[in-house]
Amino acid sequence: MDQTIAGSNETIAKPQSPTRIALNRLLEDKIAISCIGMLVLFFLLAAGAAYLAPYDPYHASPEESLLPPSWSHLMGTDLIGRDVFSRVLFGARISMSIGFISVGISATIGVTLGLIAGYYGRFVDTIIMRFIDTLMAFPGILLALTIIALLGPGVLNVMIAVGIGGIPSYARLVRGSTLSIKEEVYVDAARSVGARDWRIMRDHILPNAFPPVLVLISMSYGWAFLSAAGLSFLGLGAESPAVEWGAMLNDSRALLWVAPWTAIFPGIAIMCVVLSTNLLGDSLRDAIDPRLR
Amino acid sequence: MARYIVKRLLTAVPVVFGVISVAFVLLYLLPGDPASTMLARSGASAQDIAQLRTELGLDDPLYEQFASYVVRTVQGDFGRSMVSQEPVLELLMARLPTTLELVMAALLMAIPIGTLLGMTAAIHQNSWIDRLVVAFASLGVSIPSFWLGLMLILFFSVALGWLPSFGQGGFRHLILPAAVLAFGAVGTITRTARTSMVDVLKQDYIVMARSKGLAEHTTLVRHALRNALVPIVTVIGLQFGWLLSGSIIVEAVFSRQGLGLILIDSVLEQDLPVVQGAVLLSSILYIFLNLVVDIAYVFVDPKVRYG
Amino acid sequence: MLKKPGLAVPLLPYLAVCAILAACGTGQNPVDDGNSIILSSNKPGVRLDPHLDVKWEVLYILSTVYETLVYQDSDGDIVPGLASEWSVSDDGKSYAFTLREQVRFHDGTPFNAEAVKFNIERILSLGPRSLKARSLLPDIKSIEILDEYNIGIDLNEPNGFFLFGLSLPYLSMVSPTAVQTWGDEYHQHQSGTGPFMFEEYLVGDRYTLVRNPNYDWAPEIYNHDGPAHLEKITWHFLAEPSTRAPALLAGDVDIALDLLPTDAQYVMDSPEHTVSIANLTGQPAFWYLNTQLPPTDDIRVRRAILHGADMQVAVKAIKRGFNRVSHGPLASVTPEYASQLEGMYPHDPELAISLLEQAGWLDADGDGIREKDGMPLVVLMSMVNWGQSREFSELLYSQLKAIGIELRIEMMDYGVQVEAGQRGRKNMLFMGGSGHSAFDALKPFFHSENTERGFAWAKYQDPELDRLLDEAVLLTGDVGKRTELYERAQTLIMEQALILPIYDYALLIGVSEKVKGLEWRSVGLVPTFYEMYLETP
Repeated sequence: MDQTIAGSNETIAKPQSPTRIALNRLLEDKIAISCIGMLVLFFLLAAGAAYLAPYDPYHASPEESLLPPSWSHLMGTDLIGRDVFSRVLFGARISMSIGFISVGISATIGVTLGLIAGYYGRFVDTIIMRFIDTLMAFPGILLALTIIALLGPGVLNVMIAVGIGGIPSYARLVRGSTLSIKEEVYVDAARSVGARDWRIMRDHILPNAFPPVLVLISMSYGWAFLSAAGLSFLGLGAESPAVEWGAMLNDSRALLWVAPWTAIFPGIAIMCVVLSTNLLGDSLRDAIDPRLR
Repeated sequence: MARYIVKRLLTAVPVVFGVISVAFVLLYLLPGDPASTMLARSGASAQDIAQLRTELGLDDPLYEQFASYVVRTVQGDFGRSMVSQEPVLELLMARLPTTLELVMAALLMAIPIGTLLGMTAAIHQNSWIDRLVVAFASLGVSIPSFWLGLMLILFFSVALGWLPSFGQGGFRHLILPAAVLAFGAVGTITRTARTSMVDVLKQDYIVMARSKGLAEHTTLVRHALRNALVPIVTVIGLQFGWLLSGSIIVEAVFSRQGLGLILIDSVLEQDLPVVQGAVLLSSILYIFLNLVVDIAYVFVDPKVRYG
Repeated sequence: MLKKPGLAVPLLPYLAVCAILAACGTGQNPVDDGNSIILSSNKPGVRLDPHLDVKWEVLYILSTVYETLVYQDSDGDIVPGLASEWSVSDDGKSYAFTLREQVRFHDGTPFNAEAVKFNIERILSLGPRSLKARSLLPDIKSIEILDEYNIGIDLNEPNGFFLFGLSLPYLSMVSPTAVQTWGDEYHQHQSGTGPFMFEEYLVGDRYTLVRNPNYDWAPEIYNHDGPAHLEKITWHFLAEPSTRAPALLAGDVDIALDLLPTDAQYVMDSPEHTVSIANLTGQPAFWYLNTQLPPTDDIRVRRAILHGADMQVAVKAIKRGFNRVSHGPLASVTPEYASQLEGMYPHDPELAISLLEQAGWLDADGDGIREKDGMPLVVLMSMVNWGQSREFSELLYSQLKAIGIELRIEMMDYGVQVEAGQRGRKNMLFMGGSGHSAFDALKPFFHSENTERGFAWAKYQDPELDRLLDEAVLLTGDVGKRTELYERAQTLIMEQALILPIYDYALLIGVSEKVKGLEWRSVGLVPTFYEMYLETP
């Protein structure tokens, strides 16, 4: 997927900004609209969980252990009698923000490294890209697991681990864009009037390299979110008693036979968020550059 | 050709070296002291710990430790587990076949299904079939494997009682985990196959072949497929790494005694030599497979130059 | 080379079929020859060697490979095993054992006084590497071989639990020849004197045992003599507890040990299976309350936690009624259990709140958490990944929040928790299932000499408690007096609120109907596989 996006440099580098065209295309896309709707809905649910949840998500009533879904408990209760519906609502907060922060970490570090490598080239480029190659030698969640082994479990460490795992794709994408943008006339012009390197990178290269980064952000959110939930599922994520969807699924493994509702609902929530961001990523890519389809 | 392969092999060397360095850093820059962690559960005295430190070479200067670590790793000595005291490499090699079996089974499921779905969608571009396939592919990459696994267990093992819910040994044990692992790969392969087929179908020579009145089937197989295959081979190569990493979670869901499960267990138990070994082994395997794919690429795509 | 790439696609389904056929051919389930049995349980921790490991698998599995000098009968009395008789001197310091003759280890080595001496010296020399066996041995002064089948052991101090310790499989007799030959690899070449012989051990996966055809020295506690009924036992390690019940119901295993309580009911509903419950003596599950680290250094806070927690409903919900609620540092089936502890800390949130208020903890800012001198009432807890510690911790979190205490839970690996306990970094730490009698369930966990290096993580320093625990061990004859000392120790522990007891251990064993003759000896963890047979319907 990286290569496809990286191949789009010529289009993006064109001086006339295609933002408005892209936005219009996006607004015409029904799938994009419904994905945005879904994400806004989850965002509102997370933000308003305190008002919407019928019960305290941490409050255990052991006498109401493992009740099946009913009108008083829409999604049933868990082993120690907590309301699953309230926990799914509150779980949106941690689960979704872990995704955002890890993508933030990946994008910030990845874009910076990519800019520096692409702009300065030579041995700076070699060193950075060797580092990126090494990171890429750990497939998928393996790098995150390695970092967790070093830092120990916990929400913060999961965000760092997943964040680092996402760096290579940003670095490679931005390096590619930078390599072609820095040859543009306006960059030469800026350099000839004595602008400093970091200003050139900030004012001229970054804005032009940014649209594909945006696409990558929306496409990698799903991966980051799934990885973080996966780590929590493995018992390496959110600390007890924090509510997080992956951790809820981990608890439900032992209850699969007696209380399947504890497994079904958090999973549907995860799937909705990931599906929406992935589809939105596709639409965004189409909107920014339809030829990439 | 041989020169290309040698050159490609040489580029892997610094990456492998980087991976070994990361693995070294993992154990030796850890906040705690490995010797006291190893003996923590047995209530050892300070003297015992000091002795173990010497035995492990922890008092040597860092560069010496690193050099001896690299030498030992290259010789295949991955140290011993802190928990079970077994040699790490032996533990891992005993688990490797289970993981490879799962990954291969998933790949063999995903390739034909993904290719066929993608091509079908491309041929019927913009029809309802196309939309259905695209939706299915999106679902494939979005559904969390650990949840899909639980749901399949719930349905096929708990409700219907058809298939075992865990473990390894035999075909029946392989179906559910391989299906879960393959699901994500099917999504990606389908999308790639569709895109590449759509591109190929637009090419002049296909349009020409069709206009010459060649049978539709012949056109597709002889001309379109052959050219659409290149990106598919690439994506299959990439999938191998994803499947290897995906198998970690799938093994946890189905309690298969593979590399992934031992990795998770040792992360939880902070059994760092095993974590180190498992990470090293998986990534070296991954690097090796990428090499194989790159070289295979030469055979598939005449446009790749050996330079 | 590029002539026929199109062929690849039609080939793919064919390849898939090949793979399927290949997979079918290779790993079928182990053939059930009608006389073999498959079990499942957790996986062992360190090397599966009776003198090294502490996990229950030593008791489950190795008790069939090895034998001990003495056994316990169903009343808990000590009866002959590899030692046919023994005598103890009046001062309780000298033991003399007469050994059974004609006993041989699986590797052919004869069992004699030399072998006994070798075993005891091996355990002593293992030092801290021995996680359990060494702690069961008393302070030994000398070992003297009197003749081939007679051995004397002299102690520096009397010890009322020496014979009890000798009856546990941790003090099994291993073959000196095999140990000397294999050294660190001994666990892969085990050799004992028991009715089953080691065949294969795949670490973390399975352990296979075959019948010992030469066995004819069964202790009298069994109903038959000669070789065991079963030919083979295969032991699968299923570390994830939720997989054991499905494996049992699917017929993949015949016996599943340590079922989850939520699954046990499911197994009971199956007509082809039964669930037997073994109530374990010794240590229950509990949380230590650290007496050195604020805020639990204040006894009122500790007592408030005990009154604020409602373990009755907790155990009922999480353990589904299979386990008894615990009231002190010993399980209720232990002979020395002090029943007067029951009712000492009734669930009483009002009382808990008033205790906290007396201690100066008030909720001035109205956030639901009390504070004193600007510090919130935060209790730090270490959680482990066994014993359903997570569920109980999260339930306690909710119960303590109701009385204004904030519980901060941190998941810890056992090794890390040991360090946190010894250094006193946490207010509450989970413990359980690590002792089988008043002797090994109390002194290592409460005597003040064990606070820095051992397991006494309440860190309570009281000469009176130390004296009670020390003196009780020394009493060899007077069981009544000993029980009295232990009852006083238990009362002291609970008066000082050193622990919050949770549940008594109960092992849930799912058994297929065709398995007969399986019982659990009095320690609760030692199965009678020797007597087990299969009944084909």
